[in-house]
Amino acid sequence: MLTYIARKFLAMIPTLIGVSILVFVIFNVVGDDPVYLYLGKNATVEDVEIMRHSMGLDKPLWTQYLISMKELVTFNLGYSMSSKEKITDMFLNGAGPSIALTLPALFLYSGISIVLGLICAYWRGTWVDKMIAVLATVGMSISYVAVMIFAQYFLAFMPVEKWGVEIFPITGYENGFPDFIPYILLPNLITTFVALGYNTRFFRSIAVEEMNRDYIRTARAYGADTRTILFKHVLKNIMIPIIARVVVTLPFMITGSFLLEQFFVVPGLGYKLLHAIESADFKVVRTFTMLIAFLVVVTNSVADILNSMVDPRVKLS
Amino acid sequence: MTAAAPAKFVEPRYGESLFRKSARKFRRDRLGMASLSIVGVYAVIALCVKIGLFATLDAATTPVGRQHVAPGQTYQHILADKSVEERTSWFGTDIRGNDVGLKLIYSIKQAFAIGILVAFFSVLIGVVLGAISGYFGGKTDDFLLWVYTSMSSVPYILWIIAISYAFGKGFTGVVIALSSTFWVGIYFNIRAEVQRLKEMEFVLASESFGMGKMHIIFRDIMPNLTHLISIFLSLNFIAAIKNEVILSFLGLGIAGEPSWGAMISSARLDLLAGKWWEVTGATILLFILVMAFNLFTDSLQDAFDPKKVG
Repeated sequence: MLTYIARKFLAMIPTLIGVSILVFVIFNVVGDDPVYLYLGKNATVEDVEIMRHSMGLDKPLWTQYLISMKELVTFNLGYSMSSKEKITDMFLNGAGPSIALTLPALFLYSGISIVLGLICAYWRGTWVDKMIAVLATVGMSISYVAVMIFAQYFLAFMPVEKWGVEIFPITGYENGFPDFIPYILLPNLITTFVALGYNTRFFRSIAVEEMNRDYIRTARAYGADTRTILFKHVLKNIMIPIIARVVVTLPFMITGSFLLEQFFVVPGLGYKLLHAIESADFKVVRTFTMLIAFLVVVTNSVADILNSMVDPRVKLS
Repeated sequence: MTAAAPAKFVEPRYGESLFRKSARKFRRDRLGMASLSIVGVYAVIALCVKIGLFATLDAATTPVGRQHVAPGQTYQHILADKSVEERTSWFGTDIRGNDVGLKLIYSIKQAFAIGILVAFFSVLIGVVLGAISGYFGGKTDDFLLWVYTSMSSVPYILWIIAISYAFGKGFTGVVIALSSTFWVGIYFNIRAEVQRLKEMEFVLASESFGMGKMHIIFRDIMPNLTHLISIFLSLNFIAAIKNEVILSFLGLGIAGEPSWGAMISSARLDLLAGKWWEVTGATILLFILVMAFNLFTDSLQDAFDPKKVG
């Protein structure tokens, strides 16, 4: 097991290098000159030269790449160009709100959609099954942005406007343990709503597929009732695709937290990154992209390891 | 479609291709046909806008009257010769006094332009790279697989943001950003399928005839991938128009021209002031198109699936 874990982490290295090269190429080679973007149109030649030198952009590309790698590996990421904050601090402060905005929803919608998927498999072909399948497709077709806008209007804005009751705060965020809870409720609700359609469809199809397998017929022949089959056999066997699915949706959650943070003005990673894009803060954008990517790569490897613990068929050698 | 009642068994005919049988299966699928016709209506409107029959860019971005006229209300319409005429606005006007109905219709063309271009380019890249990777194997495969793993390890929204940051805002930026991120999933599927197909006898036969590698990939293997390709085209079309809305909301969308994304994100503050028509109109039109396309894709998948009897 330990060698397997070690191998998994070693296998991350080429991927991480690949990610860093891609990010570097996009920002340093393909992208517009960050110096011009940052200084604007009225910069003098000297300003540009000084800026270029201070950012290290006058060095050859491979030196620049190695320098940026060295900064990442030593976690010495420098300072933001616009707010002069330490980038490490910005990242660590932003991670909390981002996680609070989406992680509870991950558990909520995974739970609900697994239950709905099993319900569909149990009542296969009846109106319950069809209704859930149709509703899932409907849920899948609504735009994320529209869900946010209307949820904020009907659940947070209108109650205050019409009846003077505050159900959810309209926007904002507060740090500290009990204070942040009201602010994360509506965003988590929205994430759950948006993700429910996709996940219910997915879990339904794998549950239904599992119900058609031969061993289920054998179990039925032995006289096992549907409930026993569903919870004792099907749920155990679909655990592997469920874990894989949850991992696949992790990047999707980051998308969600980008939109939600921007919309509800929550100072998470996405909000800070978008803010950096607006102020052409090249260094923050590149570093944040890289760090988030690294986090995802690490999470994926951890998920693979988890999967190997659940699935006895995964070869460890 | 998962929810549809199982249709009647479609008897295979002698010498019938998979594609023809699927087309016959599809025509029997009522939900599939209904959704295809909705998509068709949208496509015809998009085409008419494209060739300039109605709702031209000019018409959609010229103020017709005062701002924020509610749907069904009358307003003073300004004619070309500056004279004024009383008119009823069916879809209301936006903050600049532009007609929301015209903007909505113009946006259909935008959605199709983005959807078709992104679907085409992303599927093209994914299929070509996937076929090369799957067929040749070895170092080429290792390299492409490494690019794939690196790209898919990063949340695609980050790529999209990074790429549109690099290529600038606007239509081209959106198309490049979406196409260069959406090919990854297709690549992996096509690669696996080609790896399976290249072991088959018909490829061996072609090789023993001395056919070139390109001939084998594109003339022998590729026809066996048409069903996958058409499903990917359809899925990426949906993904493209949905992500246009997200990009617009993040300030990276098409600038200057109306699109559903631009309408939804720019009019969201109007909603708080009770001006609901612009956001609602764009949301509903987008929803109907995406819903119809989702149902169509489901039916397409069922029609191509030889295991499904229906």
